[in-house]
Formats: sequence, structure tokens, C-alpha cells
Amino acid sequence: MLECRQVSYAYEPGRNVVSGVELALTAGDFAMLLGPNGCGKSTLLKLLAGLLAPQTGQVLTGSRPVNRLPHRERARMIAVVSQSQAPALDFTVRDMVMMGRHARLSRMSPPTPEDHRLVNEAIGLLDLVELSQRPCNRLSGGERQRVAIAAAVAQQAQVMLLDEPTSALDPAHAISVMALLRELPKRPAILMVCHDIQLAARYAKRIVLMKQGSVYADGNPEEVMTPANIERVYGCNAQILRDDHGALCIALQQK
Amino acid sequence: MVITLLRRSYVLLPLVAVIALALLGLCGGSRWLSPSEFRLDGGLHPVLELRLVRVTAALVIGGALALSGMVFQATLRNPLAEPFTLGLSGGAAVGATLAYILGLRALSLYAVPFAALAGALIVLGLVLLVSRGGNWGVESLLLSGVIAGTICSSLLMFLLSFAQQSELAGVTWWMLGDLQGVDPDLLWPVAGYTAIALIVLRVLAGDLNVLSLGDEEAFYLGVNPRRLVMFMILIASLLAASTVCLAGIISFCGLIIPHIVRRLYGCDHRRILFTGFLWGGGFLILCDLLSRVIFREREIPIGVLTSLLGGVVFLMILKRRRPHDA
Repeated sequence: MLECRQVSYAYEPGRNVVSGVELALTAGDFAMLLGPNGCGKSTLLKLLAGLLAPQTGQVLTGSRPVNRLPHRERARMIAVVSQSQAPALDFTVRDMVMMGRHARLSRMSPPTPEDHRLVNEAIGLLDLVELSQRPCNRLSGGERQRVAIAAAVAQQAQVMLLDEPTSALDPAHAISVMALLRELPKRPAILMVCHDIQLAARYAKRIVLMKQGSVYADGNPEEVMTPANIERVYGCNAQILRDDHGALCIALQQK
Repeated sequence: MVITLLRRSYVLLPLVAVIALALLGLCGGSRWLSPSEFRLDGGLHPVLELRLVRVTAALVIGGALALSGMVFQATLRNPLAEPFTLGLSGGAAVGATLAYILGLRALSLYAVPFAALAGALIVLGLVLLVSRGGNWGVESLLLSGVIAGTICSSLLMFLLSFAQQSELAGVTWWMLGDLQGVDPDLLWPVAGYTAIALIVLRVLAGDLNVLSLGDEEAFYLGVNPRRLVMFMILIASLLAASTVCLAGIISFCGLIIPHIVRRLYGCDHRRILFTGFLWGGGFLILCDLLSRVIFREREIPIGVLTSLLGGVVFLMILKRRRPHDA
């Protein structure tokens, strides 16, 4: 569905932020991209989204480079939730979620009943019904994150890329967003940059661990979240535990 | 209840209001002309002919400025942006003042409008050229525009220090906006361009919504932000420059009307572009009428009224809190 082949990228010559990454996302993937600050997670996401063009290697969908797809076609295929600022104009929450449908809307006709249904559904799923007529730029950071996720859900893309979508959410909303994304009906491929390794270990079906611009480990949480991997990537000690339901819990300690 | 009615009839009510204001604009002035007097000796009353040009010019200029303001505010993601943000008014003022001082008016009646248009377009060209270094990013455009405006202000002061008393009056009147001297031969091309711009903007209204979220968000939602920013800036700048060519610098209309329209009808440009055009046109027809009737013997420059009336209305709207603004 979306594939990185030996992708490298440097903002300054000779200093690769992403280096030789091989990664493939397939339908139904629910993958978390983990790694310390500055290891190239957000840059890799931008490469996958087509915003940046790889300096070596390729990001492909089918056999076509993502960064050369027509803009609207790419947006129908890949939805991105970035770490966005509040909009400058007073768009309502509903307007913002409808913008998720932009690449599918006709230029002259109003949104169809199906567009409205999908927008209503996304607003309901993200618990935004009461806020739907509020201007988005007067919401809290966490509420705005839920609006951005709702817009991505309404976009109905085959791939969803999310850059720290739960960083400003309270624990209850973070858990419900994770559960929602994991069970989305059309089973898009999801790759999410995340700093919360507890949340990642508990909800991810796959974890991609990055270190210094490269993929260090890639697999299911049990395989990847080992004390040795965590120590080598994050430089701290980890104890792997299981809760009453058998889910992974990771206790971190300074070295 | 009035606000709810206004919001629901976002085209019909403004349209009816503009027609009513236009009729008032045709009848009102230093002499009241009733509709039964519109025809005289088988033709149009000479006063009506003059007022028809003025009212049409007010509709076109007000609408064009409102459209231009809406596009600038969305594209530059700055609610304080207006049609002259990129230094266009400064360029136009320098061009017009040069035409006055060099005595080009004696050569052609079109000298001042075309010098103003040339000044505005030269400044726009320079701003786009300079901001190319910043890959035409919004910050780069804004900064270049502000600096160009400052340089033009200095140039204008320099030129004015050479102007004769008689030239100063003409320049001042022009800088405050003047619908008296609108040339019908210039009005129709500007009206045509405004109509085409309105249609193009309506087609791209969804893209404009997305563009206002930021370059990165716009890209992810299926828009080429760099190309669209350039295109929008060109369309909006030409709208503003063409109004300057017709009637001088009419300030505030392009800043305030977009705010009023967004407060009343929301921010979705697919809904508000045509409504904004009507509000801008209606507002300027009203200001023009008032400028003619407040002092019968003497007209008030229209720019004074747009700033005064617009400012008061704007403050009233800001004061009126929305239910969720608690």
C-alpha cells in the first residue's frame, strides 16, 4: 500500500536525518513509530506523506512515487494528522471536519448527503458533537487534536499518518482515540508517531523503533519492546510487566 | 432573530438590500430624483446617467475590495491583512502623485489612473520578486509587502515636498478615494474583471478554505499551496489595483467587510464569497450616498466615511458577544 525503499533525507548536506529506511505499510496495519527526540520520526512521516521528496530511495504506492501523485489523488489516498496550530480564521469544528473531505468534494456543488453523514459520524466518534458549532481556534490543544483526527477519519483514506496525535489528550480521550483508530471499519494502514511507549505497547499491532534516522527494530510489541532494545534506543533501563489482562506494561528507570 | 434570518438568507437578503440601496443611490444626492423623473425627453435624465455610473462603480469597487480582503486574509492567514497589505496602496499613491507632479494630467485624463495602476503593479512585482527567495511563503510575502509599503511612504513624502498647493489638493482627494471622477470607459473593464475573478474564486473557494489552515495542512488535504498562494495573491492584488485605477485608495472596506461577513455567515468561502461581494458593494453605495447628502453643498471624501462608518459598525459587532464567547 505504501512502501519506503532505502529512503534517505538530509536537511543539510551530509547530515542524514533519515537514512536507508525500508518500511512497508499494508491494509489493517496499526503501527506506532517510536524513538527518541530527533531520531527522524516526523521527517519519515513527511516523506511517507509526499511532503518531502527522498534524496535517495523512493516512497511508492503501487509503483508510483508518492511525491509525484496529483495533489487531490494523494489526499484521497493518504490522510495526515500533523502537529497543527490553531486556524487563523474562525472555522467551526464542523467546517474543519468537512475540510477532511476536500479532495472528494465537487468544486461547484455543495457537499452531498454522504459527505454530511461521514462528517457527522466522525464528529460523533471523536466525541465532538457538543463542540461542533464552536470556532476551532477557541478550543484547547487536546480538543483541536480530536478535531484533526476527526477530519482524517472523514477523509476515508487508505493510509493514515499521525504525528503525536495524543500528545495533548487526557488519558481517557487518548485511550478512546487509540481504540477507535485500531477498530476503524475500513481498516486503513495506520502509522502513528508516539512518545508514550505504554500506550504504544498496549494498543499497537506493530511497533517500528527508530534510532539515529534508521529503523532499529520492526515487529509486534512483544518482539520489539524488549529491555535490550529500549536500553539501546532510549538509553534507560526497562522492566517488562503484564497486567491482569496480559497486556504489556513497561516500567522505565534511569540508568 | 434578525441575526438568524440574516444567516439563513445569505444571498437573498444582501441582494435585496443592495438593490434597495442602489435605488436610493440613484434617487438621493444634492437633488432628490424620484423614479418618475428617471426618463426625460425619451432618454435618461442627465443626473441619473451620472448617478448610474457612480452607483455601479460603488458596487464594483466595494465588491472587489471585499473579495480582495477575504482572499488576502485567508491566503496570508492574517485577519488584519487587507487588499493593500502588500504595499499596493503605497505604489499606487507614488504613481498617482508622480503623474500629478509631472503634469501628466494635461496630456491625458487617464494619466493618473494608469500611473496609479502601474505603481501598484510595479510594487506587487517587486514584492513577488523579493519574496521568491523565501519560496513565496506567507511570512516572506508579508514582510516584503510591509517593507515595500514603508519605502513607498517615504517616496511619497519626498514627492509631496515638491508638489504645488493645487497639486496637493488633487493628490489628497485621490488618496481619500473619489467616486466623482470615475470614467465609464474604465469602469466596464474593471467590472468585467471583477465578475471573472468572482467566478474563478468561487470555483477555488474550497481550496481557499484549506489554504487558510497553513501550507502543510493544505498540502495534506490535496492542494498545491505554493502555486495557489501565488495565484490568489495575483487575483486579489489585481482586484485592488483595478479599484485604485478607478477611484483612488478607498481604505477599510477590504478589511472590515470580510470580518462582518464571517461573523454573520461563518468562514466557509464557498458560502461567503458572493455574499461578501454584495456586502462590499452595498456598503460602498451607502457610503457614497451619505457622502453626497450629509453636506449638500460639499461632498465628503468617501474614504473618510468608509473608515468612520466601518469602524463604528466593526466595534458594534465586536461588542456583541456570541453565545459561546463566554
